[in-house]
Amino acid sequence: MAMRAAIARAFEELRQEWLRSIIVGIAILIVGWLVFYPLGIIFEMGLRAEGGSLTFAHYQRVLTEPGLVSALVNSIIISVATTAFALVLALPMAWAVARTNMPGRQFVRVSVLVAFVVPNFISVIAWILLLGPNAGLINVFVRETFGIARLFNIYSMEGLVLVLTLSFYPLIFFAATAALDNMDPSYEEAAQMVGAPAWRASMGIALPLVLPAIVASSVFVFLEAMGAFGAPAAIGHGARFHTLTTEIYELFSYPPRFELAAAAAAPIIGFTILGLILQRWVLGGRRFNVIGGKSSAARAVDIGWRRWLAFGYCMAVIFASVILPLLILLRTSLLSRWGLPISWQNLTLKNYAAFADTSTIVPAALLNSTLVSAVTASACVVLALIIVWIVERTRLPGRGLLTFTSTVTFAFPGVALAVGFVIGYGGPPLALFGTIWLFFIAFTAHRFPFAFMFMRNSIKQLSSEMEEAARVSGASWLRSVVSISAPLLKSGIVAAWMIVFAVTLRELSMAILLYVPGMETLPVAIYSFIDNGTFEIAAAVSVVLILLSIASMLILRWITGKAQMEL
Amino acid sequence: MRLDRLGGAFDDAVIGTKRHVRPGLMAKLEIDDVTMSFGDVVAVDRASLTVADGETVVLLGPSGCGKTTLLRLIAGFYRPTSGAIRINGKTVASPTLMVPPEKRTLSMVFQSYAVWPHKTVFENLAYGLRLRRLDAKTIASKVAEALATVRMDSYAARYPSELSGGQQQRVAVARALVLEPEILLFDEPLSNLDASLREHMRFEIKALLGKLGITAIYVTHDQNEAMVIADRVAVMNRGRIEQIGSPEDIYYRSKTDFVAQFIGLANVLDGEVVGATAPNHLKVRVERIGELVACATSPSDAARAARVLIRPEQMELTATPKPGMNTLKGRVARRSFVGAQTDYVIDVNGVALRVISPSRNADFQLSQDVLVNFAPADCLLLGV
Repeated sequence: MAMRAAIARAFEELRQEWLRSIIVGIAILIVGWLVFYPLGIIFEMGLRAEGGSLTFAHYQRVLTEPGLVSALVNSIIISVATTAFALVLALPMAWAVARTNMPGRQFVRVSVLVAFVVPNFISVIAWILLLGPNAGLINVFVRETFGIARLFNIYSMEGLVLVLTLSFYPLIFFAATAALDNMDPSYEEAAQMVGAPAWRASMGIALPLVLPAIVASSVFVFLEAMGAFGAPAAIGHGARFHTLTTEIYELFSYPPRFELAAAAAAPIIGFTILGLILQRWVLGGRRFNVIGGKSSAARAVDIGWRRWLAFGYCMAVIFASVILPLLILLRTSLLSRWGLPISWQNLTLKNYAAFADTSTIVPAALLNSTLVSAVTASACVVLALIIVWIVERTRLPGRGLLTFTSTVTFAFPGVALAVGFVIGYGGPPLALFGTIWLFFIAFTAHRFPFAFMFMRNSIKQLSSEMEEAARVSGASWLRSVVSISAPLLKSGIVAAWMIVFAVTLRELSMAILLYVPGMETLPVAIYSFIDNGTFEIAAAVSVVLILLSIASMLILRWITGKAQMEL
Repeated sequence: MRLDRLGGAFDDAVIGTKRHVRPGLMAKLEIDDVTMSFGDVVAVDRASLTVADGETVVLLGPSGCGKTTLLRLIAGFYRPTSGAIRINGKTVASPTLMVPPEKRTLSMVFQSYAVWPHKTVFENLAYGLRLRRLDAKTIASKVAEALATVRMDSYAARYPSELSGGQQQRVAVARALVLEPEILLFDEPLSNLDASLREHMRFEIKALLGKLGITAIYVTHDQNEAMVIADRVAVMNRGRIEQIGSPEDIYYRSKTDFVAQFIGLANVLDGEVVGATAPNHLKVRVERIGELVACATSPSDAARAARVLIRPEQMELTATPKPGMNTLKGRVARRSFVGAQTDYVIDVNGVALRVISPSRNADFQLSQDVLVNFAPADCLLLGV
């Protein structure tokens, strides 16, 4: 009864202010369509038999056909291993940075942010150049110095886990440092007062308190590893194994088997939903910092000489995850052939000249990437402004569902979502496949949650009385939003735009399924250079992409004061 | 320092929008049996209130009592579930009709001030005037006038971040005044100020409202603030208006247990009416204490279970009985000297009575036997 009355009143309220109702209604329809249409398509496609009747045969084949089964098993093994190693790598660093007097804490924070900025399809280039079985620089060095055939073969499951771990550990590091930063140190101090040594106070008191954040970020790492495409494709190709994402990519290449691809995407979606449920469960009603950049609290634990041990450890991880890959990329991008030693006659800038050479795909890719990222960022921000306003400022029933819809694609692996978009927009009446419009739509659907979460944070900090004061001063709703709320949210809007722009710029796993020749983005271009072995051009394009990403991250940090994001 | 600078800011200021309307008979605002529910929660429950032109009514109650919801209903941020709101006899809100806030000829001072941080003080005030399409010269003079009223005229070019809390508060008041509204709404405007400034601002707002003769509805949970500012106070509890009356009325003639307890300190005793001694004077038997003579506010109070109210400062402690008074024998269970007054708890046969007595009166020590005296007229029968 009461529910019905509330709904009736909400609609009455909408009827009263028709302009607001139209804008609100359209925004809800767009978001709902963006998210649920591709997901619906995936499930519908996976259930469709040749004649159009209902069947579970495709799902059965995912569990019986040897190729698909091994892809599924590989994906699970790789994701579990990556999550475990990322935890081992990130947690001591996070504790040292957030809680101790280790030197160089701020440097570690910034470096890990850079590690996060380098996508796995780029870092994999560096690792192939370093640890390729025959020509990898480290393996060559080991062979020539110690006479051992090789130290490590990157073309293996272990190699893939190495690349993914170094790519995704920042997620756990950010969550753990943010949780530790935000935690009241008096809990630990209280434990010390009753006689616990510092490390014990941290393990016994701090760890349980930050555990939800750690579990939630581990879920993200697991899902990111499961959804990764670039590194698995590059390594799996050489090592002759498949993961679910590379298998889906195979099923899309000629002759395409869409039904099977849709069925193969189902386990990824299943794991995502399970992961989101797990996150919700461990976090309860709390929110979760994905990226925290708050400078360390004054109350640091003095760990004595061990702080140099911690420092050494952090430097080793940063060397492996940031400095070494970036140096190798830079080196390779400046060589005329990637296998050559560094000498004056081998150094060249011709790889960068690809950006001006219209006979390559690079200039078009740069243009496409910039255009797609800018349009996606703008669309996400406009949608987010309206949806966040509904969620935070109205009493419309179903706001919970709207919030869920607006955040659900956050953790969705791009490959799985792309399957739905390619099939759903592959033919009439929505034949957008092969056009840049499908890029806009798909990327907006995938990256909308970033804008939503950023804008929600900033609108939460803005008292609704600011708008109401405008209303009682004589402003209509639209006017109060345009002249009061929008200017006050400016930095939040710009920050949301920058983050969406930055993450879209480096998005490969969706683009790889959406593109047709001539529609490449920078990540797709890099991938195709890796695929045909022209590592030096791949490296040059990567260096530019990383610089663009770092620049947008810096702008973001500068705008928000701290790069912080909450879920 | 700050107080010196603010001293009497409103008192001798030039009042441009002076209208000198005395509280009259005309109903400026009528709240007619208004109910507001959010789902299952009834925030405002059948509230009725008529506010005369030029009158200041304070909505007083604890948090969650529905006072802010009622104010926001008047402002036009909510639509009532039932009932109607009329301004100047014209309906502005009912379940089927909703005039939006910007068309209600009222303005509001918000709890958080809501002074727009991206606009200067001048721009904050000019915003509403621009929407009314006034020319630049008129706007400038009206803004200057309103700022002078709150003594902020030298701050026109400042941004809100350069102002103190009290100054932002003044800007918020000026922004509401500059529009010359029919009704001015205040939503706990002083709750974010520190204690001494808050006390000072009460008197300023009172003086300002008196001078401008403007109709005002003022929401607060602070009873002292309510007493200072109100012509009439409406005490709210659980969405209902429990009592409306002058500050003296609701203090000395509280009608319900809740009002008695919420306004000042109160001793409330459960008893039973057993007879009458004179018209309006009833005998009430209170368990463990005995019979008291109490004063009934309405004649129908006779012969039923009853509750009596005695204010702590209306009781006198003596060593010998006083004639014509209710006199109870007790013993001092707690004694706290707090300056001008001494705060006692007297144990009367197991019932604790709070007594506040001027410190210059006879002093009694802990555990000393003492008599508690109070006049029948100060012993008030409450509705149960």
